[in-house]
Formats: sequence, C-alpha cells, structure tokens
Amino acid sequence: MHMRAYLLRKAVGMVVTVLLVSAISFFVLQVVPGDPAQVILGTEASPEALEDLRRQLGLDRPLGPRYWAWLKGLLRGDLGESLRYQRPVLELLGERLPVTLVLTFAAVVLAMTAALPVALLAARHAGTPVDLLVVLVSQLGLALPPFWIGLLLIILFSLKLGWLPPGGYALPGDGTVLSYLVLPALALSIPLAAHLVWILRQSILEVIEREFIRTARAKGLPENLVYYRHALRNALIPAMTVLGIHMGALLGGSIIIEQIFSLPGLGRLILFAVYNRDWPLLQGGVVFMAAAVVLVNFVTDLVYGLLDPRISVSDT
Amino acid sequence: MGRLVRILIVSLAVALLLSGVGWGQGRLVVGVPADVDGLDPHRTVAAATFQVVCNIYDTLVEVTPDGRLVPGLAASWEISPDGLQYTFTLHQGIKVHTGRDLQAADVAASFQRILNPATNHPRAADYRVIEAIETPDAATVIFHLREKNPAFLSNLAMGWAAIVPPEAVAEAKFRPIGTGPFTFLDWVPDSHLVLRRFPDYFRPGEPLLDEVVFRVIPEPSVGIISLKTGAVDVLSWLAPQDVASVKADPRLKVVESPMNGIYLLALNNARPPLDDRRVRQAINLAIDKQAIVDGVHWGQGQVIGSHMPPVSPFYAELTDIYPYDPDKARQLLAEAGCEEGFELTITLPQPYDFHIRNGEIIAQQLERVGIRVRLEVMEWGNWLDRVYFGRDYQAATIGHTGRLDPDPFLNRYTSDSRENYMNYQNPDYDELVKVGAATLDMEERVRIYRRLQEMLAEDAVAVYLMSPNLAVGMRANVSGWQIYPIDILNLRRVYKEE
Amino acid sequence: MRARNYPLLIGGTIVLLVALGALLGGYLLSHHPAQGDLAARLEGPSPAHPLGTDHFGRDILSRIWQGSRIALSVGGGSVALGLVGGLAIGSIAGLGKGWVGELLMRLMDALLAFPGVLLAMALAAALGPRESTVIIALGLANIPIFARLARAAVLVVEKEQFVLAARVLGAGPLHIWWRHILPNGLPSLLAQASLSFATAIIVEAGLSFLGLGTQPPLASWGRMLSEARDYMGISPWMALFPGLALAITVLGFNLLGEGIRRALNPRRQ
Repeated sequence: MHMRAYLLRKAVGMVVTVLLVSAISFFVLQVVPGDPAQVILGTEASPEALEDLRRQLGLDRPLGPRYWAWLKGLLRGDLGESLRYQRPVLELLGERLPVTLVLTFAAVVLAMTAALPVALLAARHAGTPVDLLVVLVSQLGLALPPFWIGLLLIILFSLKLGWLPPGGYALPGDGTVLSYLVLPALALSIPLAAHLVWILRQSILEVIEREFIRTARAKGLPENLVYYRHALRNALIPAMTVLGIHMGALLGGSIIIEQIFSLPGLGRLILFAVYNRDWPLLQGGVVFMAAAVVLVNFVTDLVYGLLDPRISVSDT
Repeated sequence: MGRLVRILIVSLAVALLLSGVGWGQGRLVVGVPADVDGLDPHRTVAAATFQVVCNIYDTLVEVTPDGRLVPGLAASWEISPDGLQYTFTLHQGIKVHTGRDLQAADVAASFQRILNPATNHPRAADYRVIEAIETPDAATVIFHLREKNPAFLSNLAMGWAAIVPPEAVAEAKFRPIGTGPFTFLDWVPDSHLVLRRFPDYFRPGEPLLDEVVFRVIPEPSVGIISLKTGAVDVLSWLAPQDVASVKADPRLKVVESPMNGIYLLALNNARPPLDDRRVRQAINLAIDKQAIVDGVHWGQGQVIGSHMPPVSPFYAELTDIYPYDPDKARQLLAEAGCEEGFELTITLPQPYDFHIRNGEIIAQQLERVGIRVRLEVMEWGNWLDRVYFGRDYQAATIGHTGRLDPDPFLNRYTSDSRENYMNYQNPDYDELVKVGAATLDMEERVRIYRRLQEMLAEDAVAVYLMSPNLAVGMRANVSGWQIYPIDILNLRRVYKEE
Repeated sequence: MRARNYPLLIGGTIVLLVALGALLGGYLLSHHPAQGDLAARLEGPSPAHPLGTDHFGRDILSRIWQGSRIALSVGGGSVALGLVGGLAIGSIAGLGKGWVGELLMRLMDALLAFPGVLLAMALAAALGPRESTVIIALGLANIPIFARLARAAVLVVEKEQFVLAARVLGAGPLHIWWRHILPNGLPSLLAQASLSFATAIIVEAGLSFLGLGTQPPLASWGRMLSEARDYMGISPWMALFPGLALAITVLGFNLLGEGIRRALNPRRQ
C-alpha cells in the first residue's frame, strides 16, 4: 500500500499551498496603498508622530526580513500582534473562529439535508414535471445573491413575524447563540443547497446508466436498493467536490453575511484588517482560512478514494 | 444524518423559545454603527471609541448640550490674568473604579502620558502648550502654559483628554479603569460591549441605569429593524431616510440636534483649472446645496456658506454669497477661459455612503454647466494617503467634525499647515489665524473668526455644502437622552420608565 | 428518454432576450440612467417610469438596462479569463506529470484557498474599485475551478480504453488532448462556465454591497440592490426590479448551461 507515502506527499503539498497563500497575501498587501500608521493616527497626525509609530510597529523594516520574521513566528505558532487591537493575532482569531465555524457547519448541514432527498426525487422522476420543477427551483436558488436572501429573511422573520433577531450576536444572559445563527446559516446554505441538488441529480442520472447499475438490475436487486446503494454512493463524489469548491466561497461569503447580520466572526475581522491595513491580522486570518480550505480539500480527496473504488489514492 | 437533523431541529426550537426571554430592568441596549477600536482614549482617533469611553472616564472640564464649559472632575478653576496659569480644584470624594481616591497626581500623570511621545497620542499637539504641571496638594492641579491659548480649556473637555489613572495604563486598550459613572465589564469585538453602574461615582444619584450594552450594528437597515422590534432600546445614529418612520411610530421617538460638523466638496486650489478663483466660484454657483440637503439627507441638515457649523457661536452667516445660479456659473467659467467646460475628477471616500451620495448629486449638477465629472471612489486608508496627506487630487467630498474651539477648525487653511490639503495660500489669512489663537477676549475672537470664514468664502476655497443633523432613535420609554456638540454618548442621566 | 431539451430552449431564450435588451435598450429608452429628478424620487411604476424611480429620482428601467450591460461584460470577461486560463493550466497539469503538474496544482490550490472576496478587496484597493477590477478578480478566482475540472477530465479520460488504444497507435499528447480529452471535458467545462457566469453576476452584487464593485454613477444590479437596502421600508420597488432582473438573467444562464450539457453529452441522447 502506498498510503503512507501518499499521505506524506499530500501533507507536504498542503504546507506548500498554505505558504504560497501567505506569500501572496503578504506581498499583495504591501502593494496596496495606504499606511496603517496614518489610519491609526488619523488626520491630525504630525510627520514625527507617524515616523515614531511606524518604527514602533516595525513598518520601517524592509519587506523581505519582515516576511522572514513572520514565517519564523509561524513556526513557533506565533502569528504576531495586531497593529490595531494590540493583542496577539492568534487570540483574536480564536475568539472569532467559533462563530464562523458554527455558521459554515450549519450551512453545510442544512444544504446537505435539503439537497439529498430533493435530488433523489428529481432523479427518480427524471423528465417528468416533478423533475422540471426541482430543476427550476434549484436554479432559482442559485440565482439569488446570498446577501439579498439574507435581507429578505430579516424582513420576513424579524420585522414581520418577530421570530428571530435581525442580527447581532447573543448578549450575556440572553438566550442562546443559535437563534442568531439561523437566518445567516439559511442565507448561506440556499445557494449551496441549490448547487448540490443540481450536481447530485445530474450525477445520479449518469451513474444509473453506467454498466454496473445495469448489472445490478440484471442481477435482480430491488429498484430502491439500486438507487440508494450504488447511485448515491457514486453521486457523492461530485457532491464532495462541490463542497470542496464551496468551502472557500462559504468562508469568503461569510464576510458579507457576517457584515449584514452583524456577527462577530472571522469574516468581519478580516474586513476590519483590510480597512485598517492591519497586516499581521490580515495575514493571520488569510492563512487560517486558507489552511481550513486546504484541509477540507484534503479530506475530500481522501473520501474520493473511499467512495470510488476505481480511483486508487495513488492516482491523485 | 438523521440524528443530526433531529438535533438541529430540537436546538432550533430551544433557541426560538429562549430568544423571547427579556432582560433585567435598568439595562439599556444601545445600537451603534461601529465598534470601538480599543478603549484607550489616549491612543485612538475613532469616534466610536470616544462615544463609549466617555462613560468610563471623566474629563476635568465638561461641555453641556448647548456648548457651555462646566465642571467635570474639577469642581472649579481659575485662570491667571495673563492666561498662562490654570488652577483646577478637584471634586471631593472622586473614586477610581478600583475603590481608591483620585489624587491630583493622577491627573498630572494622565497629562504626562498624553505628552509622552511613546504614547503616540494622535492629538498630543493640542496639549504641547503645557510647560509644567504642579500638584501642591491632593486636590489641586496647576497647568503652566508656554503661551496664551484660548482653546486650552475646551481642549480639556475633549474625549482624548480623559483622565486615565496610572493603574489603567498597562491594559488600557482592553481593560479600562477610570472614574466615570460606569465600570467596564466585557467587550466582545464587533459584537457588543457591556458597562455596569459604578456605585461610588462622585456625583450622587448618578448614573440611573444598572447596565448598558453597546451593540454593534453596521447595517442601517438592520439597525432600524432592531429598533422597531425592540432588539435595541436606542439606535445612536438614525439614517436620514428613517427619521420620518421612527417619528410616526408611537412606540418610538427621536431626539435630534444639529451636529457640530460640516460636509464639503474640497477643491485642490493648486490644481489647474481650480487655481483660478473664478472657476472655484463657478463651481460654488453651479451647486444647489439645498437639493443636496433634501435629496441625500432628507432635509436633515442646514445649508452653510463657510467652514463652520451654525451651532457654533463663531458661525458667520454667508449662505447668500453663492446662491444656486447656473447661468452666472457658466459666465464665470467663460471669463476664466473654460467656456468649453473641463473635466473634473471628484474622489469619494469609501465606506462613507453619504459622502459618496453627495458626490453623485454634485456630479449631476456640475454636468449642467458643462463640467464633465468623473467620480472616483477610494477606500479610506487610500484616501487618507492620496488625498489628505498626499494632496494628489482635484476635488473630494468629505466632512469635518467635532471641535469646540474655532481655531482647530480654521487653522488648517494656513499656508504651512500639514492639514491644508486644499492648498490654500493667503498671508492675510495666516496672520489673522495667529492673532485669533492668541486673543482671549470672546467678542474680539468672534469678530476674528467670522472674518476668517468670510475670507474662505470669498476665495471659494471649497464648496461648503451643509451641516448635518444628528437623529437618535429610541423606545418611547427611554428618557434623559441628550446630544452633545462633541461626539459622545453620555448615559449618566439616561433612564428607562417602566 | 427523448424528452425535448427544455432547459436549452428556455435558457437560450432568456439569454437571447437579455443580450438583445442590453444591445438595443439604448435606442428605446428615453431617460438617462445617471440623471435624475429629485422631485420624483422613490416613485412606484408609472407611464413615465415603468419600473419607478430610485432615491435620486433616476429611472430604474434605464438603470437596469445599464446594469445588464455591466452584468454581461463582468460575466463574460471573468468566465473567458477563467476558462482559458483554467483549461490551459489544468491540461498541462494533467498531461505533464511530475513536478510541473504538481507545482501548478499547488498554485491552483493556493488560489482556490485564497478567499475570493479578499482578492477582490486587495485588487480594488490597489487598482481602484471598478468593473475591470471585478473581472480580473473573478477571473482569477475562476481559474482554479476550471483547472481542476480540466485536470479531472484528463485523469479520467486517460484511463479509458480508446485513449490507451490511440496512444498505442502512436498519437501524440496534443492529438489526444484535441481529439479525446477536450471533447470529453467540454460538457463539464461548459456547464461550469454557465454556472460561473451566473456566479459572477451574483458575486459582483456582493462586492458592490461591500462597495468594491461597480461605482457611481454607473448602475450595476448589485449596486442598485445595495442602494435599495437603505430604502426597503419606503420603496420596495427600488429593490424588487433589479433583483428580478438579476435572478432571471442568472436563471437563464444556468438553464442554458444545463441545456448545453444535455445536448453535448452523448450518453443522454
């Protein structure tokens, strides 16, 4: 078995990917105009004060050594200190992570639970009005921008019905965190669910026509079993790909959704970092998100191998 | 998968049930559009921070809603006849949040911190005039000034002059310890900040609330729904278009006041063709300011004629110098050799929607006199660098706010000021600013600063558009809310009627 | 199984109508999309303004027309960039084994892992927020998606009997790519192209929401929606029609893509 060598190669690949991301983001950010010292001191800053602050923040050092120092810190598990919050970046990320993580996870779970049965239904009734309806509705789901869905959900469930809070996060002594996550998770999940329905339906149909299903049928297996065993198992591969592809979009999309719903997650922290030119914070956030995406894709690849007997791990 | 779904459904149901639970009495939830960027008043320029920390820290002098300077931590003060020595007597029994008494030495230490270059106090220059601080006894602080400074007393009332006791210094950014009516309890960045009543506050009977929660709501559309559904008791900034609907709602009310600030279209006086006064005057005549007040700000503001808001006692009424007169504008452009019009790039600051909208209307109006406008939106960090400090622009929409003394408002136009981003050069103006900054007599000062405003208007240095109103929306049972000429949300006397 | 290809029919019709509208609308509309009458702001539909007016009294129909041109150029530009770049990189990575392919896919992973909104923000700050910036940002974000699909097609097709047979018969890699891999990969690539086109329109809306997309006085549907959110309680018209235009167009492109896939997929016939 090449499993160990494969895993090792994948792990090295992941590290290289994350380092590439960190390098890209570091140097891209340096090209972006704007000076953190100016943003911190505002319009009344004197040139001397700006110079002082730049020195204090280490902004007077050349780029190369700064990136090198940051990398060395990374090895020690130290992401540096936020220029604006003056606290360790790792601590800030740790505070925000749960919100984004729970939000993303909830959106994926919601999307999967909604998409699977609907896709099966459509596939079994392919070509009928039921199928057409499913296709149309899922297409419509893909056609609506999440932030727009979010605003509509706020109007319906907060303003009209008064069931859920319009935004913000749980205050101390105020019920549970979950009620604040329902609407944003829903808004995030609708496009994902629509995409999943589309892909699942398509691949189930394709798989059905493949030989091994025909063989299974010929062997006299009951119709339902054919669907659930073979079709679904094989259809999950493209579905995992979709999830992998969406992971980045979900984390990225959370920037907008967190802004609309005033959620204190990673997305808004990164937005804050960009506006304030807080490069250690931005750098930490980007690398963190990238690592999460890379990890999910790695798991996706592994699951590939488990789900599809034809692709052995050594191929990929 | 099935179990997961069940867990999800159950937890959703629980969440729905619990979200209806109300909070204790005496707790006020205030929706704010931006989060604090830390809690150290000496190390920030963020308006959001001063709005909040004024409840944790006190200043020696305070300002009333109508702009008068009144005692804060200082019960009284005396100014020597030459204007060089300010003697403050502290209130009796001021407690620091740690429980000890506030001493004169703490006040001196706080100002030494402001003046220490290592602190990086963004407005330290306001206090450089202090030559020495003396504390003859525990209740007396004497400031010796290098020169006469009429703005000194009002500068002591600004949020960035707050008295930060030495024990707060180490963690002032996220664990403030002051003398104010509320103590700091918790801050979850980008979410909320909680303050609790300080029982030993030096003003008996205050504050009236037990707890205050500042909740960050960046989206105005979410903010207004939060107010209407009761998720917040107060919305500290109502978007102009929402004022009418809040007023119409019997459960809600609006407290409003003209703001101590102005919006303008800055013109780069050094860039052709804007270096020609006639062109700048033509731009002034071509802009219908009232249409901007009505169109962008729903009537929530007042047209102005120079660099001063009408709430200031130093305000000069100059709105009739440049009435809306497109014909005369065209004529002036022709005189200046621009009968074919010209191309003007207006730089708009992101993410300030109202400045961007001001720019959009201005563009429409200028097109009508033949000026072809190109709008360029620039993100704030970039804007500061390019427009404000780099002076690399033609025209830009922006606002100026929040000082009590006219000098910081108007000294930016002196030839050698670093903040003279409009590149105005006028030796007479420079001279008069110097005179104003050294004049103590109030009537004389009013005369000087009105003359300065006239000079700016005559030279059409910029297009002074309007002074906006501030509207605060709140539940009908919230009482005691006041709006101040500096940007603070002072909650000392606010209470909820049951 | 010989059902009519409804998605192709419906999607094609929608896309054709949108394209025609974008092309010819300028000759039919009487209002300038950037000039408004403040006295007539936030009005509902009327004979003068069939879809009402916005907060500056500008004609919403004219602005939606202008938005359609921006939507088509942002979608078209970013998909073209992503498709060409992704196809090239994915094919090279799939055919060229060894470290070249490995490095290319790592680079694609890095790009895919880089939050797209952030990429757009950085580009907007550096190049200025405008449509061309959005096209570049979305195009870059699309490249790894197409590259992965192209590479997957290579990997799957390479194992098929007919490719092995062709190779045994002495066909070069370029020949195999052109004759076998491209035709087999095309349905999934085109399906993704339609999706990406739709996504581009939606993401542009999101970027405009954050103020990083199309800038005033130009009207994109995303920008119109983000302007409308401030006036939702006063004038729902302002929010309704740009949203509808966006949804219908995106729907059209999605259906068209599905139709193309069905038409090109030999197994479905």
